[in-house]
Amino acid sequence: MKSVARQVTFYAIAIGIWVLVAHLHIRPPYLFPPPKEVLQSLWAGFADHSFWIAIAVSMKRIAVGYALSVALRVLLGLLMATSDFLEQTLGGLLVSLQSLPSICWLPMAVLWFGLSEKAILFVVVMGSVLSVTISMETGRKQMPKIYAMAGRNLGAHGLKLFLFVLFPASLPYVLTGLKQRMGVCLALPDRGRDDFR
Amino acid sequence: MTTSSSQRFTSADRYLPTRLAAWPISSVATSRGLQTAVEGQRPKVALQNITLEYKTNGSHLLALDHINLQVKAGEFLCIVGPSGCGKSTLLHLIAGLQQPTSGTVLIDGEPVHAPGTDRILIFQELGLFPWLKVADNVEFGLKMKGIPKAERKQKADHYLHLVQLSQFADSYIHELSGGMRQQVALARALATEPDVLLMDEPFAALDAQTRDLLHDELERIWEQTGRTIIFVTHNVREAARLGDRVVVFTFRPGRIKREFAVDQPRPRQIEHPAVSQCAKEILDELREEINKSLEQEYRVSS
Repeated sequence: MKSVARQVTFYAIAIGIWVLVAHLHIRPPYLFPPPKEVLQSLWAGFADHSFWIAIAVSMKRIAVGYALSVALRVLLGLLMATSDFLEQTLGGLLVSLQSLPSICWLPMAVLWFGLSEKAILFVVVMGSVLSVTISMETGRKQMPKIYAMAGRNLGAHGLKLFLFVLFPASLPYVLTGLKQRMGVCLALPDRGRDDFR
Repeated sequence: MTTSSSQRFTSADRYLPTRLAAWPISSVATSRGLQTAVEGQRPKVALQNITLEYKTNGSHLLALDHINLQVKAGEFLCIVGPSGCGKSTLLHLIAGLQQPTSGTVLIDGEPVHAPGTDRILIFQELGLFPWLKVADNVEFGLKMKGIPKAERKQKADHYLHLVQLSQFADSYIHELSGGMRQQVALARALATEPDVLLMDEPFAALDAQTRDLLHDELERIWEQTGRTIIFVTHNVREAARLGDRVVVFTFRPGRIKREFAVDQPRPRQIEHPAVSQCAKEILDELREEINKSLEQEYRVSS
């Protein structure tokens, strides 16, 4: 109860300061509007459905981007899991690429795909696929070796070993990475859109 | 190979008179007795001059040194030794999870190169899959073999019934007690119907009461299924309780120090004086090696 009261007080004061600063006209109202005008715009946006459409478009981008990157990273993870050669070569490249902030892909996306839906998708996918492939790899290495041994011992090898043992065994470690990158997928379409305007 | 085994049996002969005197109920088999038993049929498992060497940063560690050992079909063989004698590694070699530096593992006369479901290893840590239900764990090996669902289920039911865990088929591993997990691992191993069961200190982490219970269970299941069992332990009482034959390993490098035949009627009781006496004999043989391992540990840590 006390914490609710604190939060209400905090937001009341924050909005109070906002109203105060807006009415001082330090900046013109189109750069720093008072809360009332912001609420009116928000209402208008939902009323003429343009915000609903924008939300739907963003959600679609997230869904498509996330699905694409999941598919890609399972493929990459599989390749690296089955081949030491690929793990050392491709794996090394991915480690160096994943340190790039995903927004760095934007100029290239615009040059290659123009101001299109494809460009946004490209940024979304690049932003999440690399680091999640890495966290999947790390997950696979962190998981107790006993599962792989038990699996091989019971006759699993190759693809079956990956699908029925390595993948489920590394899932707890991978899931942390997936959750983390879901946030990036959410943030990216909007960041991308603002940059296109 | 012949030289090495005859040496082994000669050493057993040398101990024979005193052993029989001190140990009247059980007995150490004579060299002839053991050899004719092995010659009578092809050994299920034969280890020929198994040597394993680890190379790390230029230094060599000899883990196993010319191990020669034969196990009959249906035999219950126990291997005891101090920690670090390579006894667990030996099971990995037989399972095909690891390759020896030199020497051959033969199953029914055929050399082993890879894991196979004719010999299943039960790990000390069990390695049960926490993402699968108990029944699915038991079915796993059969699924890998591509056996249809209905048949898998029937076999899993059978072996879960054998270890008396039928009512836990739909539980997850973390819902079971330590002893029950042991039983699931046993059922999972048995379900693929292997000829050879390799058990790596399976009961080491259990409390004494559960362990006694599982000894009875394992003996019963072994007698019902007729599998060959190679059972690694550091617990000499356990070895005397379970084994037809007990092999004592030396501390690093692992070599076969002595063999004991435990000629006690089954089912056995761990408190039975003859079993205790047998355990004592084995322990006397082992103590020297345990001291060596402790000495080494002390030297490393100080």
